[in-house]
Amino acid sequence: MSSFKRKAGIKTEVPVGSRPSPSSPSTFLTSTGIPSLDDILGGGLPLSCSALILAPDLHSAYGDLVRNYFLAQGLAVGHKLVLVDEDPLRVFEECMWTPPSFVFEEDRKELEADQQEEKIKIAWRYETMKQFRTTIDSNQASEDEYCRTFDLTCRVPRHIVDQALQSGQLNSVDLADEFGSERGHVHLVTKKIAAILQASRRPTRICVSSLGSSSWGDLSPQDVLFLLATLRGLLRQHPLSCAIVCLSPPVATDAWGGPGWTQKLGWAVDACITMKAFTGNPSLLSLFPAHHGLVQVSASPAPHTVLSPSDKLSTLRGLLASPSGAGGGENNLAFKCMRKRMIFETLHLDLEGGVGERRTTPAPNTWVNTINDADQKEGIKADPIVKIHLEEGGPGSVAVASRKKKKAVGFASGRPEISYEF
Amino acid sequence: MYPAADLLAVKKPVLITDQLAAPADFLVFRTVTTHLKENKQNRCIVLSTFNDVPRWKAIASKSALNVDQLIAAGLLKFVDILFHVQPGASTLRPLLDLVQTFANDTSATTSHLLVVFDAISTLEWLGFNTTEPGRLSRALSSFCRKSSASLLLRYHILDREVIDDTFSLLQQLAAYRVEVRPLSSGKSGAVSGEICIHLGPLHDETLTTIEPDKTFQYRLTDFSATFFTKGTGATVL
Repeated sequence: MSSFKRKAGIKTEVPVGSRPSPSSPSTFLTSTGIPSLDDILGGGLPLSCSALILAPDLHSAYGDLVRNYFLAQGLAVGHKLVLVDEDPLRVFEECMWTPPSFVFEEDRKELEADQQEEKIKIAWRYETMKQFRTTIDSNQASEDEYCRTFDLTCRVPRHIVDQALQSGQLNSVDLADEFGSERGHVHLVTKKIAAILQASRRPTRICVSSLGSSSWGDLSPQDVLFLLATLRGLLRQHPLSCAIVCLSPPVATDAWGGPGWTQKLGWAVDACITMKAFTGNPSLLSLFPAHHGLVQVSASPAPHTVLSPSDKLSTLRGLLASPSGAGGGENNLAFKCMRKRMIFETLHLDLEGGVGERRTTPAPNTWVNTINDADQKEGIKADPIVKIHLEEGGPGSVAVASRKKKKAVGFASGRPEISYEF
Repeated sequence: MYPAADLLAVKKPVLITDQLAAPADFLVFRTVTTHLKENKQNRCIVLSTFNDVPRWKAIASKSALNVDQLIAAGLLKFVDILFHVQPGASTLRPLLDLVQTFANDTSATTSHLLVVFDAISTLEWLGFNTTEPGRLSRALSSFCRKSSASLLLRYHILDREVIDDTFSLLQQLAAYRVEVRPLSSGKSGAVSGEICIHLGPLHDETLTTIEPDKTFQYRLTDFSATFFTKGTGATVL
């Protein structure tokens, strides 16, 4: 009998509400509350990392929705929450919560449809192919306690909020009360957060809401970057904490911070995700009717590795390397907010490839503006000019058959006067 | 096959430029770990606005380096710039003093010092005087030349078409510039980005292992990167 004894592996205690990353055992991931967003981040938001959510659309609040998911998930798994907002109590009360029965109607119908499809005979060459899916299966995520299944139609019960406030689970940095005449001073916010982290012994979620809004006072781009950089340093000092920062929509664009502003933001945080809603662009809304906006991943967290787990493990991003070593390009991502939940998924054109018919002339409802020299001097005339001509010719005149106009095809969209007759 | 393996041997400033889509963290890690493994007496000081020590520990451990031991032995030092100077400061002279103190705090004659200045762009963005990062780079370059130390500068590029004053200064200081850039076709799982080495005005004519202006591609792994010639797919296929 061999005297060799295998060394027992050193087991690291896993913080509550988190799990080790598959790519790095020393990295602990925590859920954002949205399973598909967790997948994009590589399984979840790593503890000691910060994520920045950019939602530049002025007419929607998808960034606030992600914030609420983050807070609700932290509340459900027992994490300590720190919210920096003008009215923190209102935000806590508006968070979604788990429904009594967490099987969504849409998933139940999908399951029934899958069972029906299994009865369909599939050609042998396609039997091994997986079913086409645009997002990850949320039912699988709801089986464990890592990510709770929240329902947008359900609000967190009042007694849970009160209990969390009394126990100290919910903490807030109220921008309206804390600073008086120095409202929104970045240094005071970071000091307050540092003090809370110093006193905390359990996983802590920090949420900075609407950074750059009017409640923060007059912030410069340097102030925003300083807060992000300082927060990131604080998270590294307290490895059981993580943070999500949501910028105010006007601040999330290059128009506010100058050229390269969104890239500077990406360098100051661990993860940077932009959610570009279609609200302000009707053409995209008609092109992708099933989605509410595009998702762009500018930076992904890598707290203990060179390669980000998101690049390696994300199913939605699609950068997984095959066993042969040949990887694929990144998928286009989009998000949509349904009645009961929000999901991130891959973006594809419809079955017809986005174009339903071939056209050689503009559509009937298309308005083409032709600009000549006279119009350029006076400006574009908005009123249409209608001319009425009476047909000439008395009795006995031979009516000349009108020549049928030949079809003309224009090849340059910017110069409609250039056309070829067929 | 790392295309810039001998750059530090010439003991002249090396400039690394990167973009958000293709960060050059792996190059900095590789350079520092290689330098420290080359000789047990070699020393390194890293100036940054964000010193991710846990990440350094995890990555260096794969190269059989113990960061805690190196720090305790005085061979490795991480300097948090924001701890020593605040935005709005008129000068970054305290950082130069720190580097000089660290360089002089050794009795080993065979020690080769590597100075890594990884915060040039960040200091500009955080509100420091736009001329100060360039001045500090120039001062570090002069100090390293006098003390036969190596200098590694890192600069983030926002727009390749725009060359600002700081970037122009850094290009003049550096003997070599390692450009790390993303693929023009977007992200790929097989190729993480491209590397191209450009010769600076102070490059060493005797160094023949460098292939200037030749583009290599790299692919990141969990703790390192693999390099291959563009268009060959030697590592991919």
